[in-house]
Amino acid sequence: MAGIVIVGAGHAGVKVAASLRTMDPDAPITLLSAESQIPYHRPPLSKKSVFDAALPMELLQANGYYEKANIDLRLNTTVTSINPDVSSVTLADGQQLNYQQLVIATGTKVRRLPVPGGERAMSVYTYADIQTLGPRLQSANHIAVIGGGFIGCEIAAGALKIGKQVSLLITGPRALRKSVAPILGETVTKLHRQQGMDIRTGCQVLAITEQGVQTNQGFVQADLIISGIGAQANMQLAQAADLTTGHGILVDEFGRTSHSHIYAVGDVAEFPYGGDLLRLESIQNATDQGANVAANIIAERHHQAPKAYIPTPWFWSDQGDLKLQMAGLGNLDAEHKVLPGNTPNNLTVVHLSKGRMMAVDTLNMPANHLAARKLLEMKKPITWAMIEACDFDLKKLFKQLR
Amino acid sequence: MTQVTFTQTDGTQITVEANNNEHLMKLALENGVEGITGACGGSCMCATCHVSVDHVSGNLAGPGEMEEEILDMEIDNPLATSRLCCQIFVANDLNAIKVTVQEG
Repeated sequence: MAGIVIVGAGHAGVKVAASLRTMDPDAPITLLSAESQIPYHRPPLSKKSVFDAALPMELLQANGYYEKANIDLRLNTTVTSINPDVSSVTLADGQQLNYQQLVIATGTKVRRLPVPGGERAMSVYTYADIQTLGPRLQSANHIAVIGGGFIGCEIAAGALKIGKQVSLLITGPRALRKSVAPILGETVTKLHRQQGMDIRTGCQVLAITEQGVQTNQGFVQADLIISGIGAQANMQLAQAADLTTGHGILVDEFGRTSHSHIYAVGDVAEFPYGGDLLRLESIQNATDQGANVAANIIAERHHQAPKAYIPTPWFWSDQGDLKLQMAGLGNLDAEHKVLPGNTPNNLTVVHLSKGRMMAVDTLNMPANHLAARKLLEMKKPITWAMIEACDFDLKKLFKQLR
Repeated sequence: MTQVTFTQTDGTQITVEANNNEHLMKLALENGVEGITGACGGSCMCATCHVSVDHVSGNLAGPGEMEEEILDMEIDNPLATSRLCCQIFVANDLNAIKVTVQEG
């Protein structure tokens, strides 16, 4: 009997499968992964695993879980087409799998450097990547990391911490330019430099050779080059099946694509958010949207009404000893106000848009992060005056409003 | 080796032998303990590995700042013995520990 087929077994795909099984003990669930590993957590790869000679892997679910939960997990299984007209997918070996509901959870693929020798730069995205990179990282002396986003900063800071000489090459004026408030990006840049990281801003990569990286600022010698310049949605299957796409596979607030019975979830899905469209690469999104889509599939199967996905995004990044935590969706155009009481290593920045708190970035201030997350989840308007009236204590404000 | 016992919500127990530096969330996932999700992978960012500590033989380090905040803010009715088990690490001086899975 046809059941639910999930393409992709990252965080989102596995969350959909596990939530479905919790809600329906009998629905047939097939989970397809192109990888050869039992599904695992990706965030630790660039935050800690790659720097540990043992290359530890954190599984999303125990090894025996899938069998016990009667989820048909198929590893090394690539989907070559989606055939909405006949409700099936075609696998690389030619087999057809029929579905009643299909979930596309194909995630993203890393961007490659479009320069001569760009293929020499290694990336960190899958466990297979760190199996190749890990041993080279251990034996390298000078590492050049290209890209000043979260992944680039995490890799550079981690490598520095295990005693490597590290150059971080950034096109913008500071690290994390697109992801956090400018003052936080500047602070992180300064703190990494204080630890001995060679950060080059305004640095354009022109070519990569066996000896290092050719840039607009001269040659950077390195015996290992790693790039972290972002990722793009893996949506070729969806496009070939004529699903509507933008920066990702377009879904409505219920996770449904332009074709009936086909859902998309996680990094690959672009969904309505506050009057705009949003594609998020985060664990929060994979987990919460995964649970939402699972519930909506169950609703569809029982002819019930679906529920909208209205997230409060949050993110984190571990960079050496720095812990960055972001609640809400930050905005470079917002007004950025720093909460008083910071030390050189601690910072809390509030993003205010039209006087209303939209996001809060913190550095090594977990309590403020968590309070901000709870405040934003309330979906109430919060102003700077309200924060001030609570002596800039976000937790106090949350407990007052609760 | 440290003996770690998980009591699941249905009352059944799973006991495992654990090595130093392993955390209990990882042990729970590897041994199929029901009710432990560990959504954030042990980064102390969520509350999906909430347990209560019923018994400790030996030494157990207390919760850190982030863990205390999560217990305070994310859990509706935290117990005095509530912990996030991704933050409970097996160590030489921890002989045995018993925990019960709680609502995340």
